[in-house]
Amino acid sequence: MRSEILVPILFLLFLTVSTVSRVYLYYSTLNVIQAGHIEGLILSHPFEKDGYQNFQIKNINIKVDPFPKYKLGDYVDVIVAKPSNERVLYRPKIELVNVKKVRVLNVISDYRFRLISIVKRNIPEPYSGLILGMTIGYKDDFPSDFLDLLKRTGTIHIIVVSGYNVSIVISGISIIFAMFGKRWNLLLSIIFVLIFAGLAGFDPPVVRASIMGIIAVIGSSYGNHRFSLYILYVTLASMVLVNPSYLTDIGFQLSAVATATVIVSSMFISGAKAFISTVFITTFVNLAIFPIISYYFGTISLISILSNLLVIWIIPFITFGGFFFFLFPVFLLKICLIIFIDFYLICIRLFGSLEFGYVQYKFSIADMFIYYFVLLFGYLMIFKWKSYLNEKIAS
Amino acid sequence: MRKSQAKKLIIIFVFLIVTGLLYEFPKYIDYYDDLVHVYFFDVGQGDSILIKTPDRKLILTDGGNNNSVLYRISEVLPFWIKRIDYVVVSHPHADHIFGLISLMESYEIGCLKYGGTGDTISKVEEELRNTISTESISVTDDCIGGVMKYYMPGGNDHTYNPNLKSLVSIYSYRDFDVLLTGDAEIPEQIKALPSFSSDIEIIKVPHHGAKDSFYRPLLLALKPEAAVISVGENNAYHLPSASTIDGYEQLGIKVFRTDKDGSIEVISDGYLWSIVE
Repeated sequence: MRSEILVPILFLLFLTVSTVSRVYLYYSTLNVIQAGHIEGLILSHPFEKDGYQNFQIKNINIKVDPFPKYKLGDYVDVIVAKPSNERVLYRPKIELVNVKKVRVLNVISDYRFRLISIVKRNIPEPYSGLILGMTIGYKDDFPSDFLDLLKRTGTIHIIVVSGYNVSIVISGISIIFAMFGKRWNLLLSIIFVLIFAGLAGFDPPVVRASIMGIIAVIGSSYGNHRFSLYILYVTLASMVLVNPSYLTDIGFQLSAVATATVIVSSMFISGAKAFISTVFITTFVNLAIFPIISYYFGTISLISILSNLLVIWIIPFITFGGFFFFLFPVFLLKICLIIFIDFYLICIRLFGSLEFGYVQYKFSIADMFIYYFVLLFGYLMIFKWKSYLNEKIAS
Repeated sequence: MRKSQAKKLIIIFVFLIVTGLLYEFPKYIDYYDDLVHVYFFDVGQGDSILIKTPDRKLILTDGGNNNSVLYRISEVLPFWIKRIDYVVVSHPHADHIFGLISLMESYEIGCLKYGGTGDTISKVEEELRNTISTESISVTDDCIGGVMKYYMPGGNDHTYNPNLKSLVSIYSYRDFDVLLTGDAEIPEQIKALPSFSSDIEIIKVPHHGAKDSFYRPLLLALKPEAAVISVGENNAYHLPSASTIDGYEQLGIKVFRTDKDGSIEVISDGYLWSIVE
């Protein structure tokens, strides 16, 4: 076997074995939380939900009162009064350890608050919440009826920053920084992506997309689909190696499946027109991710493909428009953003009102196993059929 | 850009503007009409009531237990309205003030009438007071004097229970009256009763329909035609109490609930009124 094939295969094998061992060790030593002190750094932006301020310390979910506000980069000492069987602590006593806080992250957090304030002071809800969700991953405290509407239409991914948003940002900044020459473009793009990941709070999909984005900027390698799959696998395995709890994070799972599907489906439709590609990729991605959504939320949207096709194209406009609004909060831009979001709101209200658009069903692990087996088999058949057609045309 | 592409873009943009106008038009009509609109917002377990007067003044009483008041306000007001003329804090419990913190950071506030006296009772109230200070919001006793009658039957008595100092207010336009009771309990209602002089149309049921706030003589004296209970679905306090609802219904008062009916809108020209379905 040639060395250029052998080396990557050995590397993949080594990475896989290391990751599996790390996951096994992590979950086999994951005990109940003991009474005492848990110290750690807040590495994601705390958010409000169900009357609690939520954040994680050492993979333990901490739920505290909304005030005082904690922020990214704060180092806290959580006092656990009694042992707990769950990885969640409700209203524990918390003390800030100021000497250990990470100031750079605090500065990013303060800057994020300023951006939130700019948008919230100028634009009402739900427009401001949607803009901030798509640009800096702000998790707004939307009312439950609005969130139900998003779930019914399968468009809840739109209100959070995802790999798609990160790739939009990376494409945009690569174009903007291209004028500075290749070396500066690379450096500025990497710095910008890191700041962006910090603003978005280092959520798993953002971390995944940022790593892949940086690799793409360095190697300009997105053209080769097989190489993209290789990078995706290495990125995901490395993330799990560093933090095994990512494996059970729904954002991580959705991001991994959606990205793999985008790469694989791009193989089938290379050379197709943009509209056809969008229809195919949206359909494939929705088919690939709905079992995960069903498993966690107990719902299946039957209209998600249609509603996503109708509204997905507004995401780049709102993401870019939102970033420009941070810099130039002018009336005209505000109107444009509101017009785009009004279209989205009309679509989801229209589709959300359809009685048949939504069923309640929770996929079991067995269901998922069978479904993904059939899906992969289907992909393989399409791939074989396409190869057969190509050969026939060539001959 | 080719001519045909430019044409397509213009068509898409015009289409978006038309859909946007369609979405905003009902809010525009409601805001600029000459009627009173009273919105009892569905903000979960808490109170938040917005009154739009015929001369387009906005009075918000309480802000609920979360930030959904911002979302509810934008459901009924055109997007360019970013000012609330009067804000009333009935009393400083978190389920009445939490949403006001975000509101003050997002909207311009004309003035504020604060129904709390004495020491700060929680971190949430402390944060509200900090926000009032940092946003330089004018807190005055006569803030709502020109648009509403109000009573603080509990006065400045030093009491452990903020409900007993809850601010009670009446908005009147011609023959139409709405009574907002905050979390006033029975002792407070007994004190307030002599201050009321006429029949009312709508009452906001005190204290989310709790048993300890049902005071029959008040209802017999004021003869409300409809009652609204601001309460969260499956709330931990099991409110409203069945006996309270029975009490209202026995008196022939129609009861509406934000947990069952969602946000409730009442409109009136000052003589006739109706609930908007």
